[in-house]
Amino acid sequence: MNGSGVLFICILELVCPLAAGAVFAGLSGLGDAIRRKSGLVFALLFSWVGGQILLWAAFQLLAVPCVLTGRTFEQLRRLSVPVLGAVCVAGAAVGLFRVRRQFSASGADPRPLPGDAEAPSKADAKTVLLWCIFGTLLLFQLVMAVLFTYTDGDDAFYVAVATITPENDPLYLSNPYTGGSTGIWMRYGLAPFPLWIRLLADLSGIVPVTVAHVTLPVALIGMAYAVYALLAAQLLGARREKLPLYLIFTEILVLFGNYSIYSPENFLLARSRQGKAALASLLLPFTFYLLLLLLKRVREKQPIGADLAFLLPLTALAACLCTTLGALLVCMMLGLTAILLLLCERSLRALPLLLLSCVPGGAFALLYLLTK
Amino acid sequence: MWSELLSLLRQYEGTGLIFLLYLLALAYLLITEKEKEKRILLVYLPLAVLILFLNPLTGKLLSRFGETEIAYRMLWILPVTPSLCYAIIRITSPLKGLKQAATLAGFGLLFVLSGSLIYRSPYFHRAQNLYHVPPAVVEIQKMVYYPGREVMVAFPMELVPFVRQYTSTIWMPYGREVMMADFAGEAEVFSQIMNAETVDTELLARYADRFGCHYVVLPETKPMTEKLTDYDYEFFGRVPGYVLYRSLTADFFDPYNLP
Repeated sequence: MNGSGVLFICILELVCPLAAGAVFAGLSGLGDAIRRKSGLVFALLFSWVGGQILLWAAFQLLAVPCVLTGRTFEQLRRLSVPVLGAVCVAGAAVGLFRVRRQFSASGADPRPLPGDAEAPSKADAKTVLLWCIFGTLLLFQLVMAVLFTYTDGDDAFYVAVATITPENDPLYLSNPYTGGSTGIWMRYGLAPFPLWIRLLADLSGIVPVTVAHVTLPVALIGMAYAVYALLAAQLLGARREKLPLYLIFTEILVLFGNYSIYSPENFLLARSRQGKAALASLLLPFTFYLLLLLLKRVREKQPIGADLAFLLPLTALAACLCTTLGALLVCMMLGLTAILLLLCERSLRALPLLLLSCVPGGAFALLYLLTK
Repeated sequence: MWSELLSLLRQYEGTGLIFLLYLLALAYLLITEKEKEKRILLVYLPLAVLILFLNPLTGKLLSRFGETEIAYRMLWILPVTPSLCYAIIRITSPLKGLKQAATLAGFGLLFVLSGSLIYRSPYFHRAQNLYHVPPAVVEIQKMVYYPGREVMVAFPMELVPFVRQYTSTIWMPYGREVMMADFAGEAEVFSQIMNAETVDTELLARYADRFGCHYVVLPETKPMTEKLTDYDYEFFGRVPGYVLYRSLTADFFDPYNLP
């Protein structure tokens, strides 16, 4: 891994999602945040995670048809690079345009940002100390992700797919365990997260095994905490000054999450290169966060917002990329929330969005069940 | 079926203490949380998921699609960590000064004692390179690399899961799939011969030949009934902990350009 590889992987894992996700920050009022100098960090975290989800969803829409029609990885890459590049440029352009417009609309009431709520005016020494503890623990986890490794048998499949996928043979026809050709691995071909790793590796010039074991875990652990922070800010509301404390407790639960090998906390630190980890520790909490925003907007009779209208179905699609069960889980969350909303709030407002959000993910889930 | 799901729930809980604390947090939020959206998502949604998970119909549906063993993933929907942290902040917010600090420290200690530090797992260990694979795999790949061709190499089971994570240039007669319950066949037999306490050299040579192995890698200290060099294999090299043998009969595609 040389200097240019590090630079490129930072661009791919940090700058590109941020650029693509600027569209969501724009829709959610980043310009307002800049104007009033609060909530900016949350808007950036929202952009980063939202952008990653947008890129994953777009990649899923490109990769699965390529798998099903027997295309090669070279063809998938030739298709993905311009499309994903265009998504980043368009996301950044739309986002910046909206931010600029909000920024210049100085008279208007600033709209609450995702995760924004009565921010404390000034951090006292205790809060600064708590943030320092949180930052130190986060850094510790990131350093451990680089210096330590967790042996998991499933990597023999998932990471191997990223490494051994040939440039010029149909996707998912090579046997990752031993080599040679085999019948199409449909179950895995519908959730091609390893191909995303391979794409990152090809574009950065870093070998897939290093992307999978080193750079991707660092990005995903950071992103998972970004989601936890967004969620915490929504949950805490007026108690926002407790945010660092909340996050420190989150870190304790994650660090001591080895009580079971099946917990999402365990997956986050131990198996972060696998799509299941991205689903358990990133996409499902993010869906939870989006639902919290949605329900709050419904209760306060605010417009549902384009950010949620796009992000909910995109998250379901991104879940399909991570694991074949991902779409079912996200759709289950959306469906149950729709039923509960109907029962508790007698509100039909969010129902069409919740049900429509299940369509793209549900289609992949159905495809999986039919082809199984 | 229901008992299978219950056992999955138990596996998911692990030691059970964190899950017990989560259920207590759920009960606390059920009683005290007044904001509707939080009530729906932190209380009703988890209860609905638990009911759905423990429902015999769910089990039947999952088993129909052969997915029972991964049904525990439904439990990932439960917001265990966010609920616990939120409940703690709510409980400790009205407290002041030393009382608050002591309660928070108490909860922190409870989490530490109820859980287990992830880095203490026996599966975590210091990475020896940026590939996070055993150095022997990297060394062996360099030694057996043959430009433009794949080579068939039989590895001891402890190296098998890492080889093809690192390189596509090595094929193997058996992979990690031989460890799976429903896998059976000649590859499994070969893996058993390679990984027996004492290797039956004659059988090993026969199977290696049958699978067209160009190389065989064995642990340095592995007891063998005879020398492998007595069976159309030559000593090829050594990496820390392992010895490599090269076949004298396997087709190397171009025998005049051996690596």
